[in-house]
Amino acid sequence: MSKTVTIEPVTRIEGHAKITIQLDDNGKVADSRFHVTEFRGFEKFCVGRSFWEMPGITARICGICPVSHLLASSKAGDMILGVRTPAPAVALRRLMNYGQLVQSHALSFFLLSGPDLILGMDADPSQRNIAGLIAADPDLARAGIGLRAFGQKLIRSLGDRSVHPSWAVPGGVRKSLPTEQRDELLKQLPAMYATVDNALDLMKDILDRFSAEIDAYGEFPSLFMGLVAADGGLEHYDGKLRVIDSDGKVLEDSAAPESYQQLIAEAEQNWSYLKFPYYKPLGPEAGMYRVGPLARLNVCDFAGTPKADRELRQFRHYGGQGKPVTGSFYYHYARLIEILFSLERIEELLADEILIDHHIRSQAGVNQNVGIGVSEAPRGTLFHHYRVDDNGILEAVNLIIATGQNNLAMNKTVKQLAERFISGSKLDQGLLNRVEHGIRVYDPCLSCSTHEAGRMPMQIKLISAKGELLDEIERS
Amino acid sequence: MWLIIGYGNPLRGDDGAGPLLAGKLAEQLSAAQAKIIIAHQLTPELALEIAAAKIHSVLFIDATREQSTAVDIFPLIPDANGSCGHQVAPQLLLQLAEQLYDRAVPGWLLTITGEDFSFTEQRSAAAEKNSTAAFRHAIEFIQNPKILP
Repeated sequence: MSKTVTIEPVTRIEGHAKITIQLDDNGKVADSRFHVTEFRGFEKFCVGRSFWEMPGITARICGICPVSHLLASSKAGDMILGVRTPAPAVALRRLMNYGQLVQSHALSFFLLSGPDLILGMDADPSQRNIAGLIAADPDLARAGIGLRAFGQKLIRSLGDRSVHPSWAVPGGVRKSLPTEQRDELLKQLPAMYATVDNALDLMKDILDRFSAEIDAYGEFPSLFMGLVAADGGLEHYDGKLRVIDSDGKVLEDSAAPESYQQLIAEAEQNWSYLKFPYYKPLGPEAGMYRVGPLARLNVCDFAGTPKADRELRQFRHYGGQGKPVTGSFYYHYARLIEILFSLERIEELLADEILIDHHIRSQAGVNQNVGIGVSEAPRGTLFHHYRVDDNGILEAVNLIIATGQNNLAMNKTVKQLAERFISGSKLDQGLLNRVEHGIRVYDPCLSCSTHEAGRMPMQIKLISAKGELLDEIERS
Repeated sequence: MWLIIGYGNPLRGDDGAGPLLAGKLAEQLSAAQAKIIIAHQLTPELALEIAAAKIHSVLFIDATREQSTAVDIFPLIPDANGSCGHQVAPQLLLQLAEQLYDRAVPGWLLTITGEDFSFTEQRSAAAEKNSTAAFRHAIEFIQNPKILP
C-alpha cells in the first residue's frame, strides 16, 4: 500500500513550509515535495508606488536580510536615474553587505544548524535546540552571538538600525560611517577572525563525523550561478553573472545582470507559492541550478583575500580536480569561508580613505523607464526588476529571490534524503530532522522568496497510494 | 543602570506600542538611569546588551492583545527552551546572558494591551490610552521595582 509522509512545519528556517513524501505500494519513495505555504504579493501591491520608495518598502520583506533588498532595490533605482553612483557610496554599500553576510551566515551556522551539527541528527528533539547547544558547547553559542552582534553593529553604524535600515537610496546612500564607529569596528576584528578560525576547525570535524551521510544531503549534479568580479574573483555586490555545470564547464560568462531574463525562466506548481526558476537554455529539468555560498565559491576563480583563498583551496578538495563541490551539506562550510572573506573585505574597506569622502549620492530624475538591480544576498543572487512611467511610478515589479532559485534543488534534496532514510510505514524523529536539515542547509528564507513573513513550522505526513494517512509528525 | 527594550512593528498598528513607549521613556530618563533600545524584534545578540556590566535590571516592553488589564508588569524567569532563531523570547535572552556570559540579570516584561494589529502606523484609541497608563507605571516601576501596578 502506498502512503505519503508530511513534515509540517519545517523548523529553524524562516517562513512556513511543509514536506510531503509519497510512498508507492512497495514502501519505496515515489515522490516528494517541499511546499511553501505562505503568500504575500509584494510584486503586486508595489505597482502604483514610486520607485523612490522601493528600497524602504522591499527591505520590509525580510527581517533577516533587509540589506539585500535595500541594495538590489537601490541599484535598480540607480539604473532608472541613469547616474554613476559615487565610488564612496559603492564602498559603503559593499561594507554594509559584508556586515549582513557575517550576521546572517553566523545565525545559520551557529544557532540554526548548530544543534544538529553538534548534538547529532538522532539527538533527543527536546535537547536538540539552543538549550542543548549551550549545554554541549557554550563557546559555539557565544561565537555565533558574537559574530551576529558584530555584523549587526556594522549595519547599525551605517543605517542607524540593524533591522530594516532605511539608508541606501537610488543614486547612493544617506550617510557615511562616523570615524569613531569605524575605529570601534576595527578593534573588534581580531576577535572575529579568531572566532571564525575556530569554527572552520570545527567544520572539518563535522565533515568527518557526518561523512557516512553527507552524500544524502543534496549530493547531485546541477548548475551553479552567481556573480563574479571582472577578474573572476568572489563577488557579492556587482560584477557579471556566471553559470557553470557540475563538471565545472562554464555555460555563461560575463553575462550582464540586466540580461537575466535570457538566462532565467520561472516555472510554477499548483502545490507551492514558491516559484521554480531554472536556467532557460536547458529547460526546467536540466536547467536546475543552485545559488548562494556554495554556488558562489564554485563559480569564482578565486576569493581575492589571503585567508579566504587559503581556505577555498581546501574547500575545493571536496569537489575533485577542476570540478565544483556538488554536495549541499557543504553550504555550511561555504558560509564560514564567506564570513572569513567578509571580515577581510571589511578590514580593507574600513582602512580605505574613500569612506571619509562626503560625495555619497548622485541626484537625478527619471532618465530610464526600466531598472534592474542585482546583488548577492546571503542565500544567493537577488534580482529586482522595475518598470516605471516617466514620473517614476511603478508599472511592473519582478523579484527573483535566492531561495526560489534553490527550490528545485531543495525538492531534489528532500527526495534524496527520503529515499535514503525512509523505510517501512513508521516515521521517527531522526528521519524528520534529517529531512528538515536537508532544507536547512540552504538556509532558506521563505519570507523573502514568497515575500512573506512568518515562522517555519513543519509537518510530515505519510500517505498511502489510496490516500490514507498512515503516520504523521508535526512540530510547531 | 536599567536596560529598557521596547519591541514591535510600528507599521502594524498597536504592535508599535512597545517601541513608542521606549522612545517616550528615553525622553524622560537620563542616560545614567537607563539605556534604551528600540527593536523590531528580539534577536539573540541582545543577550550581550543584557550582560553588560553596567546593567542591573532589564525591562522589556511589548504589545499584546491577550490580557484582561490595560497594562501588566511581571517578572520573567530565564528559560532556554524557547526557539533561538531569527527572533527569540525575552526569557531566552535572560537565560543566554546568565548561562553564556555569567550575568544573572533580573528581567520584567511590561505588556500594553492593544486591539488593532493591522497594517497602519496609527495606534488605536485604546492602545493610546493604555500607553499613557503604561508610561506612568513604567516610571513608577523603574523608581521602585518592588511596587507592581
